[in-house]
Formats: sequence, C-alpha cells, structure tokens
Amino acid sequence: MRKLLLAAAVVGALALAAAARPKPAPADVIGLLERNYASIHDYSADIEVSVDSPQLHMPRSAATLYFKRPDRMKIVPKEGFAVLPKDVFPGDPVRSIKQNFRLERLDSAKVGNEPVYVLSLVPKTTDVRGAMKLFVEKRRGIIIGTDADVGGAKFKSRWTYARVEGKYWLPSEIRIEMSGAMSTPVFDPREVKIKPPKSGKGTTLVRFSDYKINRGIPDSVFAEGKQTSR
Amino acid sequence: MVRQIRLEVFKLVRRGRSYLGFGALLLISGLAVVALLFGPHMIETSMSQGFITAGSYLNGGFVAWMMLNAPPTALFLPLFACVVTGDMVSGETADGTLRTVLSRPVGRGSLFAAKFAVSVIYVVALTLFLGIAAYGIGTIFLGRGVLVTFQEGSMLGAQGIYVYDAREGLTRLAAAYAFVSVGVLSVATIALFLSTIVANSLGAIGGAMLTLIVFGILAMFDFFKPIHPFLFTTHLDRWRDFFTTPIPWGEIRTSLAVLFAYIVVFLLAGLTVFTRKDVIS
Repeated sequence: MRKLLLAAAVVGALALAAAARPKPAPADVIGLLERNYASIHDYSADIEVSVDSPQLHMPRSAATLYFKRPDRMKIVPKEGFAVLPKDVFPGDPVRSIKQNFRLERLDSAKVGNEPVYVLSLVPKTTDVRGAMKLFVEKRRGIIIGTDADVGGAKFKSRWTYARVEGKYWLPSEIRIEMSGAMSTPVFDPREVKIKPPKSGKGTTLVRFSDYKINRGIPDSVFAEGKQTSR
Repeated sequence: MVRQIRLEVFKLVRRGRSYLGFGALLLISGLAVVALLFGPHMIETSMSQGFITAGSYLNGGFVAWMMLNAPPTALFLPLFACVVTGDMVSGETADGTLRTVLSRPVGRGSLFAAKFAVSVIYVVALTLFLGIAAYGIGTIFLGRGVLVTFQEGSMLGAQGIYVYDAREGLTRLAAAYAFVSVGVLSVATIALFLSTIVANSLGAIGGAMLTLIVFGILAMFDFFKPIHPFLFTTHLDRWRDFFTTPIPWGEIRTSLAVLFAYIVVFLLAGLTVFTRKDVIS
C-alpha cells in the first residue's frame, strides 16, 4: 500500500512538473527555425517550377536562386523568364516571415506521426497573400507546410527536405495545392466585358537541386536584372 | 495552268499595291516593339497573386503572339489581303486587260483557278510575313525566350496565362499563323468573288471588309446567337486555342471546316460568275 502511494505521488509530481514547464512562445519557434539557417551565409540552388492552375499554366520554368545574407536574393531564369511562388519563402524563410508577419498564436499538433508547432501568422505588409498557418516540425526545427485561406482562395503547401552537405536541412520539393478564386476580375477589350475571376483547383511544384552553400557568391550576381515581387 | 499561275504571280509582283500590306505590317511590327520597349508592361501583376517573377517575358515570341492578338491586325491583315484579291478580276476589267486576255485561247475556269492560286500564295505569304517580321524584329530588340500568352484581358490585367518554353512556343506560333492564314483567305475569297461582280476593285475590297465588319457586329449580340456558329468571324479567333493546354483539336477542326466551307462556296460562286461574265469593256 505504501509503495502504491509512493508511485502515485511520483506520477503526480511528474505530471505537475510537466504542466508547470513553460510553454514555448511563438518567438521560440522562430528561434528554432533560425538555428537551421544560422550557419548559412550564402547559397545557390537550381529551381524548377511547374504550375497548373486555371489562372496560370506553366509546364516548366527553370532558374537559379541566389541568396546572400543579410537579405540579398536573385532569381536568374534559364530561359529569360521565370516565376516562383512566394509560399516557398525563397532566400531566408525566417527573415521573410519576421519581415512580413506578426506572430499571433502557437499551437501544437501532429502531421502524420510527427509532432509539429502550428504558428498562426498575421500579415503586416501587403507583400504576402494574407494570414497563414505555418507548420514547424519539432524534431528538426524546419517548416514542413503552410495553410492559407485568403479571400475565397485556399493555398496548402507541403515541404520535403534533403540533407545538404551532411549538415543542412533544405527543401528539395515544395508542393502547393490551390483552390478557389485565383485571379481578379479583368476587363477584356476584345469582348468589351469584365471577366469574372478564374477559379478552380491547381498545383504548383517547386523542385530544388544542386545546392551550393557558403561558397562566397560575389555581389555582382545581385547587381543587374529585373525582378518583380508582388 | 502552271504557266497561268506564273503569269498571275508576275502581274502581282509588278503591282505596287501588292507591297502595301508587307510594308504596313512591317511598320506595325516595328511600332509594337517600340511600344513594348518603352511602354508600361504589367502583365506580372496578373501572374496570379503571390508569385515572384524574374526576367522578362518580352521577346520575339511574345511580339509575334501580340501581333495576332492586336485588334488593328485583325482588321489590317484581311484588308491588305483584300486589296490584292479584290483587284484580281475587277482591276483587270477596269483596265480593259481582261478582255484582251480572254480573247486568247485560254479557259476561263483555269484562268480563275490561277487567280485563286495566286490569292492563296499571297495570303499565306502576307500572314507568315507578319509572323516572321514580328518574331524577327522582336528577337533583335528584345531577345528570345519562353512564350507568355494570355487568354483574356489585356497586358495590364490578364487571365488564363500560359507559359511555354521557347521551342514549344515557336511551334504553337507557327500553327496559329497557319490557322490565321486560312481565316484571312476566307475573307480574301469573298473579295475575289466580289471582284468578279463589280468593275471597280474598291467595291470588291469594301464589300469584303463590310461583310467582315457586319458579321463581327452580329457576333456581338446574343440575339443572333443561333447563327453565330455559321459566321466565319466566329471562327477567326480560334487561333487562340493553339495557346491553351490541352489544345481543343475538335473545335479547331470545326472552325477550319467552316472557314474552308466559306472559301469553297465563294470560290465556286466566283468561278460561276466569271465563266458566265460578259466582258465588254
């Protein structure tokens, strides 16, 4: 009987200790993400983007992505023109998130069997689609997905990673599923009519390969050319 | 027959008005490139919200596609074709040379067929010239690259944006221009038919262009919807489908059938009138 009481007391104490442990704040999760990118000063990667949606159909677009701290980023298309969805947070995702979003709330959940943090982000600039949920894997401290619901359109991204140079977890593939309204109404001069937004379902697939990390990208790479971000 | 076609080509080459269309289309292509180089181009805003765009979609392929899309081209290309085909018979009637030609042992049917063959050569050459000139000038000043097209809207706000690699873009452009040449030929054949009726080429050119405009107006009103599938103007725009994925081949075949039906009907009508025509002047 005494042993049973002792065991109950130990279990109770452990439960109390667990409950008393401070819950991580949203900023702690950002810190967790930062750790993965902290030792990356610059990188380049080949990217391949394919988009199939009612608004944009692009079978394949290839480019090279260059990034250098603190915030220099350049996409050099291989055939004169390329697009890249903002959902992939090219460059330094943490910096991009901190720059464009306010961290509102943190929850815990599971994606498959993997425990994740669910970070609710509220936009503070007009440079992003809108509010979104960011799924951060607890084990590796990496983004594994996003969910956004913006004005009648839904965007869901899922990230797959590769271990690069034996040290860094970096995205190898990002798949974005889209549904709902995908454009704004436009005036069609041929038919003299305002066309309603294109809507439906779509998929964007971004593949990253040939990462080169901390090789010292010269500043001249970021100097020329036009890049539009909307 | 081949000799007659050669003679008709010779006459075509000797006429100044044959070059009017080529010159004008070259000028329009050049102006389009200037406008693209220095004007606003904000199609990026329509690249679906939330995309970063890099580089430029302005290149030779885009200029060639834009020339098809530009409303002035839709009017000028048939006009320049009609200027030549509308003059094929009526011009010679007015000049009095047709009477001289027909006084020789030459079959009226084969003569008209030769005129039609030259009309086909001219229309195809004119249409392809537009594509080559636009692509060439665009490539010289803007370079080559992926082909960005859109189905609806304008450069300031577009919907249904399709992006193809340079090679596929060029293939689709070639197919679209080939289709457009059939569409232009349908209008040009109307002008050829009218030129067998009237003695003044202006009447033939004006009549064909008026048909184009009237059919275009009818296509704007839902009241005339039941007859829309039978108007050739409904099918002239079908070249756009070469820039979608998948390409709706069934609809393209239907449009080609309608356009060829117009060509055949007006060719036979022209032949009938020409073979029975009383050439007295």
